[in-house]
Amino acid sequence: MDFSLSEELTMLRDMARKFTDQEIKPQADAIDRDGDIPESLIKQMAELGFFGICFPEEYGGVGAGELGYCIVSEEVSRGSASITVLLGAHASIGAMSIYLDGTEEQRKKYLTPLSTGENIAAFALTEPNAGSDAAAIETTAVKDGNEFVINGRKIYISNGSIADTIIVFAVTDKALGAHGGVTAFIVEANLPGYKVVRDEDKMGIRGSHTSELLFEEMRVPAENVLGRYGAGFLTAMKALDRGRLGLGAGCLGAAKEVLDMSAQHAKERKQFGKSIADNQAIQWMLSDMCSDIYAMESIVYRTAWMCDQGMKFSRQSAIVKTFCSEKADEIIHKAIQIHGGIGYMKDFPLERMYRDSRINLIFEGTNEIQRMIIARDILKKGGY
Amino acid sequence: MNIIVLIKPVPDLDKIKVSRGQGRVFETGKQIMNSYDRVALQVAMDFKQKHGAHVTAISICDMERTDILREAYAVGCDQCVCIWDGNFEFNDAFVNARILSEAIKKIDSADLIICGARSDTGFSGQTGPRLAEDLGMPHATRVISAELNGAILSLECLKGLKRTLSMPALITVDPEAAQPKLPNALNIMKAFKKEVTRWSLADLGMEPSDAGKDGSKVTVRSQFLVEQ
Repeated sequence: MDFSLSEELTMLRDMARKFTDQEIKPQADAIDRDGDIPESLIKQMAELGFFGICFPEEYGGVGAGELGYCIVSEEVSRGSASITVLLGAHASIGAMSIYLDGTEEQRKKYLTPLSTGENIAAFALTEPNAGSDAAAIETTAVKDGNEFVINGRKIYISNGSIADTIIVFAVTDKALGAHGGVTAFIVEANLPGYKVVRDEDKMGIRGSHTSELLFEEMRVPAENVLGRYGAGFLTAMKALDRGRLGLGAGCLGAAKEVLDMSAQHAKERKQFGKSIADNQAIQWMLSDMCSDIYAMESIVYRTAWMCDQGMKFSRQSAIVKTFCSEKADEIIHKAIQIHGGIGYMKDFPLERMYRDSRINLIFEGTNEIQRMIIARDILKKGGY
Repeated sequence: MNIIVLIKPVPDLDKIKVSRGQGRVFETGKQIMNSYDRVALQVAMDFKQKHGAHVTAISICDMERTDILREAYAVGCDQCVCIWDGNFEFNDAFVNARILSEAIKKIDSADLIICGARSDTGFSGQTGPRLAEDLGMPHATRVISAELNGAILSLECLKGLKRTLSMPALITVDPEAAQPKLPNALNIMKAFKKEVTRWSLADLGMEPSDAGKDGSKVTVRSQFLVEQ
């Protein structure tokens, strides 16, 4: 067993960390306050290759694999969760769907400009009546000659209002249900009938655009069917395996950041004539935070490695998502406790990070759904 | 135009351990690029982008202990040369300048040599000027701005001093000369697949006695930590 990071990935991490320290952190509060990520920051990240870390060079990517993507996601999450979500929705599920199931032509045409950051991707699955029950989607796609006519409404779509390329899941045969009756489509945002209704006003990740999309008689060429006709649900599930893993990596980065902040604050903050770090109550919190981070890091990197080896990792990805999101939430909670009053104030990043972390227990499949996925897998295939 | 940039590894100050009892500094982890040399690389890259150039990075370094030549590839260098031999640990600026001089003569095509003005650790600032003297090149130190017109370099040095040099020439740069850019991710991945040319003293036609303690002019008699 060799747990060391390659020299390439170590340098990639250093680069992403420097970028986060120099460019993201100074803008993180403004991103949260303004509800937007500056175009200049997106351009810088595109130049550095952040939008295509996990995709092969032949499609405009970096070729650093899922582990490389997780490391970059971890580092940017130290600065701004809104940027983590921008990159996650774009690369981890949006563009990833095209990489996983696209034809060579679709990869060249759509994945390449997504990898370079020239275009932004979104992944449109959730609907008003289909959240955790993704099979209950009502958006329809009806074949008409060489086109499909799509009608429906999608909600809570990350990157929705800024995306150029959207993966839309629609019912093509209601009788067949989720497996066989749902098809994925590559949709360009400039198609007639495509409409961004609004961006949501949220508790956290406020710089990420979470949008409601409407499709009215939107005509999509038949060549834009992604993957096998009727197999859209499988595409969605495969992409979400990656998304959940990347989400875990984001939680890991935030957790590491607040542990560093907490340790520093505990040493500097003096009460009753001594550092609060001298108190056992503080030491135990730091110790528990660090122990959880060790476990988080271990499962994130191991699962990313499994993914890069071409192994199945659906169960592990659900575990990563559930464990890391809950632990990050607890760790940030403890970090605020260690910081006391200042941790609660808006002029300190913990307040934002606490709000940002809450969504991780909900999106990309709630943690309750993840536990169902894990349990079903255990009951079907056995435990360990 | 052929540009040569000299880069040096230095200890990562975040990863050193100081033993006051023993009066010593211990290095842990890999060595990083001298901050002034990062600026020198960026000045070279700016010239490359504006005028077109083949950029070679040369370092006297142990590649087991540092990735700075990989980093040089990642930011856009076309060729990297590592010079290392067993007894280099105690080289002073005099020896390093001689070694670099032989290496540059071996490359035989330097129009412009760019160095950091000094190192983050030694602060002597001697290697650049000594090398220029060895090579018989005009040079300017502590450059904060450099423009190229044909074969003429128009320079602004620290404290507003203006200079012009005809190439081939050597300059040493201060941090104001350029803002180092981060390497992009794809170039990082590619950097580790590229070949680094490796030369020993013998490859440069030098003897073991030309380097290390035997070749150096500076003798370190003792080291101690300044009380704070």
